[in-house]
Amino acid sequence: MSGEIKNRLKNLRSRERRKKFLKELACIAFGTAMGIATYVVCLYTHFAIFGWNFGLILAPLFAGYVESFAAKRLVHESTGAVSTFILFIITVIYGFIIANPTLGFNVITAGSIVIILQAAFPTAVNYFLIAMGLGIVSHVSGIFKKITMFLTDTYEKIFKKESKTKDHYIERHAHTRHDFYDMELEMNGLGVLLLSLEYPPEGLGIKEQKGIYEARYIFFSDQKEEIKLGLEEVLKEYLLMDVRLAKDKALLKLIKQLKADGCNGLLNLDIIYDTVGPKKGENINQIIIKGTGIVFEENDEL
Amino acid sequence: MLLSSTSTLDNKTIIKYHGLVHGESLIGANIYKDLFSGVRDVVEGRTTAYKEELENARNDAIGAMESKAEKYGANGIIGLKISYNNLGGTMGNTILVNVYGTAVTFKD
Repeated sequence: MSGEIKNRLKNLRSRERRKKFLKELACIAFGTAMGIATYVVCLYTHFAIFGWNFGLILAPLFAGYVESFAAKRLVHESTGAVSTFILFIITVIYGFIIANPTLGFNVITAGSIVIILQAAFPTAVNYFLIAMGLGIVSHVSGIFKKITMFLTDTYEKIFKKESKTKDHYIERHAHTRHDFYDMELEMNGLGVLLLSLEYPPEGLGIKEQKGIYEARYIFFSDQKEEIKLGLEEVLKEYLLMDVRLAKDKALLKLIKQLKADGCNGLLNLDIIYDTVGPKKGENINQIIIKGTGIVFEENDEL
Repeated sequence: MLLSSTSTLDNKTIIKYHGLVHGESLIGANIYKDLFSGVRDVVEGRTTAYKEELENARNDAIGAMESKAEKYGANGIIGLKISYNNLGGTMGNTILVNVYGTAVTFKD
């Protein structure tokens, strides 16, 4: 018996709620309709000064006023002047886009849209702008990363824990080199005599010139990442290691090419460095090593 | 250690060609130093600072190359080439000094 009463009361409450919700919707719709009517009247009568129509202000205001008035009578509480926002959007869409088909998208219109949105939804937009602003500052300067690093380092110093981020980074770099220099590499002991000389040495006994040989290696120097990690002090050292690694890789590639073609020497060896990517801090560099492959008579004296 | 940019050595006999020796050095890979050098530019101090740094870098690179040549038992480097390359960097002035040549053993 009591369960039936409860169900009836529940139904009654939900019915009341639905009724109230419909009344609220009606108030918003009425306010919106009155706002639109005001805007139409303003546009029709050219109620404007210096081309700026008063309807842009009067329509949202009147819509909100009518909606609030009706809500007070029907539901005895405010509905939040939702029709004001609706009218705001309607007037902006009509005034800026439909009535101005020639209006292009540029800095001024983009700025206007931001200001309009800021006026309509101040809290949300302000939060967004702050978050975006802070995000840009953080990305460019890496300040939050530095602060976090400082706090982490301080915490680690106090509680005697070892830093992980820097270690991981250093480990990664070390691995890159270790993979290449796994064995003892002696470039001059690989069976190809590398000479930076323009003219062949006397007594070398060149049997054949095999033509020009060239090898390149592209390497990146992402200094921004190192700066963000607070590794400025080792940045120079790392970059130099990258340069040496690139040079050795290119040299090895060249030696392989020469040996494959039966050369045992390279004359007029030239090393060229170039920056391919123009973006500051994240450069793409290339090293080119070239020269003329030769076959000469093996001579113990030389 | 005798250094020469020529392919031969006059009045000397080269008895052994050891092969390629090279050395590298960098300057300017420091954002804070670069920023301060920008400030120093106002009082015309940057030119001197860079000149000194470039000379130091060049000497470091040559020193590294010479020690490699010494390991081969060479007493001279011929066909020596020195190049200065801009590798970009955060402020666009990371300069690589690259030196290389052919290590040789000669007698008078």
